[in-house]
Amino acid sequence: MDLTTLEINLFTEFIFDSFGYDFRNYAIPSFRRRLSRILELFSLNSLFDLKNLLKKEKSFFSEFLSEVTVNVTEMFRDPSFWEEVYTTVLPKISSQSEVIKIWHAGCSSGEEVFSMLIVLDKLGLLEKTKIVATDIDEEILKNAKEGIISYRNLDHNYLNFNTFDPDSTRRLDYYFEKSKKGLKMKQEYLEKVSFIKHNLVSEDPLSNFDLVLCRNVMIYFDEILQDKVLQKMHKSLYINGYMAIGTKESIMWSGIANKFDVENYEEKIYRKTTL
Amino acid sequence: MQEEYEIVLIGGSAGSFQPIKLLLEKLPTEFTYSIVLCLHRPKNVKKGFAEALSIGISHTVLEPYDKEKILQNKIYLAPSNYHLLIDEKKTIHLSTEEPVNYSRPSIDLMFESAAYALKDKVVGILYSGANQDGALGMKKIKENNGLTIIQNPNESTVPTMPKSALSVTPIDLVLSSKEICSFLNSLCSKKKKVLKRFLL
Repeated sequence: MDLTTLEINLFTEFIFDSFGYDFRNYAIPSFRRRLSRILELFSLNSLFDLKNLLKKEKSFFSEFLSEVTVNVTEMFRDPSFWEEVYTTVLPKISSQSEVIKIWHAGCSSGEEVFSMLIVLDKLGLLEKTKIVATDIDEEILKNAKEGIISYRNLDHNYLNFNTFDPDSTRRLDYYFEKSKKGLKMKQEYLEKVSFIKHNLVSEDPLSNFDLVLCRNVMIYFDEILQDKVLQKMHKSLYINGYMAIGTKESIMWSGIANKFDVENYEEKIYRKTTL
Repeated sequence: MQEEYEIVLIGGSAGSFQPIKLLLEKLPTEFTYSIVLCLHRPKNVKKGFAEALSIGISHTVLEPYDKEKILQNKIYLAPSNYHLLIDEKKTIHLSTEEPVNYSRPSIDLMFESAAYALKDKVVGILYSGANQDGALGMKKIKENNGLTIIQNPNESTVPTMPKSALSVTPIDLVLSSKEICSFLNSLCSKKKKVLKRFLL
């Protein structure tokens, strides 16, 4: 916790120079916590020690990457958001497009993608939908591809799902089968998704989407990087395409704010109106 | 120029709603600092909590957005299911990382980040609660020359939280919930050095 901002800045410069990953515009308070946590986890005394370990063992970097990025997510986080996707956003997109193209930017272990698959199935829109899910962290993408929700995280996933859809005829179990590590989403659903490694910070955005979701990803960035990423999301959408960000994120201070209409303010869903 | 306390951080869990509600009701209409609340509540209670806190007080309790700037004379509440961190510029940073002390928002995380960033401008107040969240945060506030206050454990509905703080760090003031009210009122007008003398 007591890592100074200067130390952190020097460290992110080192990471950028040595590995090409750019954390220089991550939000300092949360990044400080991530780094302190890593030092604790690997019994290191300082960022200097961490730097030496990264220099010595190149293979350690992927482990570092998984730990430094936040990979905590849950299915149907903010059930009222999913209700809005179900009742308004997807039906509208479906009425205006032959094929529905969705991008989950920063998908982590995939819970949001699984939620989307379930919503699409309930609307009977799975057949006409293509989903791309991307993350910076290859290790976590492997988990997402497997489609597993560990047994210890089941409770709040069920709770969220039941709030989203209290009268569902297809319970959450319908979409999953039991496996050693947890509930595994059935392959017929998972195969609708392309999981791709993609760095939102440094790479060009993917393009031609009807819906882009980037929820609770940008909270780890500073304002400059948030704006940059919002520009990319704007670029990735068709006109009339929808963008969803976290319910406590804002586009107010970004240059793209006037290129979107508010579709739902509470749930932070926007519709692209201007190129 | 003499410095003032600029930010009052309040943590509470089980049994803290009533005394904190009382505190907000007794606040003057204008105060020279900011208040940020970090209160534990069930995860599915998402809406209506800030509104409930706002009833009968002269301020609206705000659930801030990520990167919102903390302003004087405003009251903020850490949003449900997010950690709230504060930086040197008094900008709020939200995070969805792992719960700390089984809590998200975690009082420790809010206290620690603000103590680090704002040092002696911080007042930390810890109310009733059933776990240990907030104790280490109070320690950080103390170490960074902020002011630490707990609700008197004898008066707390569930004393575990204020007691935990007492066990890990010196606490400047152990006050009843009524005394905390008068303290925050006095904080309004008094400069810090005067205040410190007043405390002695």
